[in-house]
Amino acid sequence: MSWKRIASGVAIAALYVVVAQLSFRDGLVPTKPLYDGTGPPPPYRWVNPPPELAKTNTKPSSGSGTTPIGPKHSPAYNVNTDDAQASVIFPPDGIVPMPGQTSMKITLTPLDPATVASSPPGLDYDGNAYKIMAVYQPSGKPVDIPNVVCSLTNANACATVVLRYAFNATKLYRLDGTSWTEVPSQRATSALQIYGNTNKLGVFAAAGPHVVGGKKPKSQTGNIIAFAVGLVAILFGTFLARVRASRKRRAREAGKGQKGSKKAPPKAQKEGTKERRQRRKDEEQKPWWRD
Amino acid sequence: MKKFAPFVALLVLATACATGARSTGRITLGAVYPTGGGQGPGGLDEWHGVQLAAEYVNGHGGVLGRDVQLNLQPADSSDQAARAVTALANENVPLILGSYGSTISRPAADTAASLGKVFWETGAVGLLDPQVRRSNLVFRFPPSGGSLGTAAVKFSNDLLLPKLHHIPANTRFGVVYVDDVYGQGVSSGMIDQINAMHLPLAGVFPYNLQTVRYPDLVRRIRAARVQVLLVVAYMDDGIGLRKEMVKQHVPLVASIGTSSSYCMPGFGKALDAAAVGLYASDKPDGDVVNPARLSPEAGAALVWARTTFRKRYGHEMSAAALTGFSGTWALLRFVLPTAPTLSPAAISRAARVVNVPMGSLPNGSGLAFAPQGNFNAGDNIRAASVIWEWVKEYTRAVVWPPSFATSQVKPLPII
Repeated sequence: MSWKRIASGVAIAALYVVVAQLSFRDGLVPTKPLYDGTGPPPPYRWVNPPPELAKTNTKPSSGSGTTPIGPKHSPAYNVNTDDAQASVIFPPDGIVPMPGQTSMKITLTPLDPATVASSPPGLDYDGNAYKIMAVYQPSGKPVDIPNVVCSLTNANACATVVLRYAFNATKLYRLDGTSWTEVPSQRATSALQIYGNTNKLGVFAAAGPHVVGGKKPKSQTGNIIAFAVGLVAILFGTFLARVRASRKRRAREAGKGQKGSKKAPPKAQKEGTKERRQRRKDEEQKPWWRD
Repeated sequence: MKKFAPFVALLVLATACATGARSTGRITLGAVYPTGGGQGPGGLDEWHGVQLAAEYVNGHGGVLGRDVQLNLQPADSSDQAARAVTALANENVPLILGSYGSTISRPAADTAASLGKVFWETGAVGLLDPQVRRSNLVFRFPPSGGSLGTAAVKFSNDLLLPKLHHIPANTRFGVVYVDDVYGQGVSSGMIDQINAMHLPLAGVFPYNLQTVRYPDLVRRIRAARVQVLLVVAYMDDGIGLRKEMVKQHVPLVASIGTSSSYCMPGFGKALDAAAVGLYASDKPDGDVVNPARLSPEAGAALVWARTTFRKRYGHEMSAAALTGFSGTWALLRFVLPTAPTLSPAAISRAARVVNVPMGSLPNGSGLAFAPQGNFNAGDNIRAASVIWEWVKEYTRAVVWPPSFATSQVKPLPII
């Protein structure tokens, strides 16, 4: 590969990073977007949409691309899904050359992340997972990426994975075996994207804090306690009033008895059926709170 | 019956105790605005206007002595709108303010109505679901997209074309619009008005924001021999379309856009000379409304808002900020105080009978909502809108209506 091609590849990659950073509000260079008020982002396309978005959901797109590679070098190359929800960017020499291999084919396939693995602890998936594969051609073997330590500032030899998110993703993950490994990432909030550099391809997903349904409704415990206290207070007050009234009545009856002769009180006569019925009727008509 | 009377009395008393325990004296309202994403800058401006209105009202005695507190749930895209509204509904707010962008407004209004909450739109102009309009729970303070479109056609017919020595009935109109709830809302007003005035409609050109190819689109417009082009676009596509029009030398007599692009400072900045002579039908900015032409109360509120906004955020009140301020002030000043309770039903009833004349609000609007049975039920029929003109490079002025105009119409040749 000529030095001209390498230089142009490096220049394109550098330009991409600079423009991206200048455009991203939360980028390494904090600044406003290129200009205010771009159009609204299109609705996110889900493999398995949340219930509130199921009615209007459109199925997401996959993406693929093929680029020639040389015996010693590979060019800068990027592939997006057709709906621009996922991208992978390879820098110049971003894959390890393989003798006899003349090109590489890259595919991006959207997946329902819930069918891949459990979400990272304490987080919810935010959007689809994407299976990003690259194979040498003609062999069809998976490509090797240089085994370097990737970080946010080291994009020279690592592949950059960019995922659009739907809600508020804060982290990017790569599936290693059956568990997720966090990929150091940065958010581009103006584009609703999260991106990170990786030295392995595979399945990637964005995740963020739980937001479904928002915060829990305020507790009604205070109101219930207030209701109960009010009710008990009123019942207790009524009970006290009844006891007092009962005592007064007894005292009044006792007072009447003392005013007359000191004869022994008349022996209570046996209550007849008629009297008993009348007494019950009177009791039924008299409200319980009155004596 | 007498037997149950004490139980009922006890229940009423106990409930009163419980209610008294809950009341804090503060009114909490929800808010859903984009604070990030492509519409974040405008959404933040509108939200800042909303906050200022609450601050102003709280500083002037609150709503019948009660302070207003706002609870924001950001929604940077249409996907997030329903969740943001649901989260606020779980907070037991009776009313939710929103939402700057039409693509956010529609799902937010749908969700609020389905959850029995009032949705008070302060900025978005796009289409709303007719079923949601029938809920009596959705109110739109700013002009609707349809009315902005109507105003653009009327301005062309009544004022601009005669000044340009063109007979409207012999002039070919074309409507190009982004094919979403915003574009459909505004363009429907334009097309209806063109038809109502029996003007020649040369063509209608909807496009998909994600897949549009400007050379093809402009070739179609050119082939239709459009003379007055009415444009409903966001910023990126509005600029892209205009650049391609210039590149292909499409000979236009006039071109009028609407909110979200043609009226914005960024549009003029990106196009320089290519913007001169273009018009925009939109809401007024904070610095073009003359406080002296408002009611004393509205004028005082506007002056305070302008000063405070500039001091706090370092720039003039944009149209978004002014509509956020005015729409919220209208709610807190004229609707909530007349609602017997703060239930959504009571607020809705109060809103439906509100009757505030033009010029009584800081953006020059009045407040009266179209009643049920009308296609625009819940829209503010006294919303103020203006026509802007790019009078020179990176300089725009309001040219219509006369009550808002800061400059006369200058029919300039467009590139």
